[in-house]
Amino acid sequence: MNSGIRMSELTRDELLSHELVSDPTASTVLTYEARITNPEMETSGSFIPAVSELAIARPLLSIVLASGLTMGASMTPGVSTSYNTLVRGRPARVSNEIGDSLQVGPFHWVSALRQKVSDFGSLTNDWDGEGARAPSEGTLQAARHVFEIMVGYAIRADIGAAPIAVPLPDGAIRFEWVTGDRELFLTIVSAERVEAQGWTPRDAAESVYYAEVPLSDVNAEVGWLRA
Amino acid sequence: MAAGVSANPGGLLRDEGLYRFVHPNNAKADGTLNSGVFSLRRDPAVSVGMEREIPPDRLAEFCGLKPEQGLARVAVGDVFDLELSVIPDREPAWTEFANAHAELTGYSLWPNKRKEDVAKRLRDLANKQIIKPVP
Repeated sequence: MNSGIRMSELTRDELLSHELVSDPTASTVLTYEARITNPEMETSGSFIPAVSELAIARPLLSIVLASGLTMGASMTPGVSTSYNTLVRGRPARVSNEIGDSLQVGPFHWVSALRQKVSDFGSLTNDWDGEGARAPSEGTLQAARHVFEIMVGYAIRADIGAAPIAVPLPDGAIRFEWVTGDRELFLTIVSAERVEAQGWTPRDAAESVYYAEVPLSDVNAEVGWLRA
Repeated sequence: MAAGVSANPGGLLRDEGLYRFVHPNNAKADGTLNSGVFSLRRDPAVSVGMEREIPPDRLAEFCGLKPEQGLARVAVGDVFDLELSVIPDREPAWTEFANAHAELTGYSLWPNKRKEDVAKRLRDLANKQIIKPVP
């Protein structure tokens, strides 16, 4: 395997920094294997040997783990092997059918929502017939970045509730996220700037929290949901 | 609002209704509405229909103006309580309902925090009166 990194030495934060690898290289398999050795993602012993088998085959198969992060694994087409495992304590099944994906437990929303954000890229000006502006490419990229931060936070904080994604008439993209008695808006207004606003209780008339932050500081804002 | 400018030039009553078309991007999978439906990031106004100009027996016809969209209702009184104005604004594209068209205004100078507080509140109110779900 093409790596100078020992799996057992990767920290959780390091794992998250390796997200979204999807090319059929040795490092792809490395990332995948590292994920399942994450102590917060329980897995049965039979799964890790299975990944070793996958590592020597082709072509690429994208698998979405409970984290929602798409990772590449190489599998042999036409072989109907499947693997039963546990991800975060919940039963899961990985199939080697090309194009198949695995979504587990409360994080079933990740794949569909990631796709929805990407679909916002097809919006054109006046998409609502009332003069709404299409999101810029920079805003879309920033929204994808924020989304992956939210996914990471959902795993760490064990938040199963799905956020929703909303295109706004000024070209901004918003995530609305409700958990417990809190609601958070993360509004990506440009490639560099995000507005965060929170309400608690959820039906409060006035938000108790508002901040305009650079994209690099979004991590802290997401944490308000469980502050 | 500038002094001398009425927030209610149409003389609407508090218990009258305002209709808002709901674009599919503003509806969740379960049919409820998201905060985009009354987003005040829209410049300069939000388009609504005045219930008083839309007879109940022609509501389906009104919905037909935008058949791919849903329709939600909020009470005029709630809109006024949020310190928004309702300005009648004839819209020829609404054909037989041109005179029903109005605009929510009065928010252009608000800070974003307040705009979003109000947009969320309107979302929550509209979610209680979804007249026609997004198809």
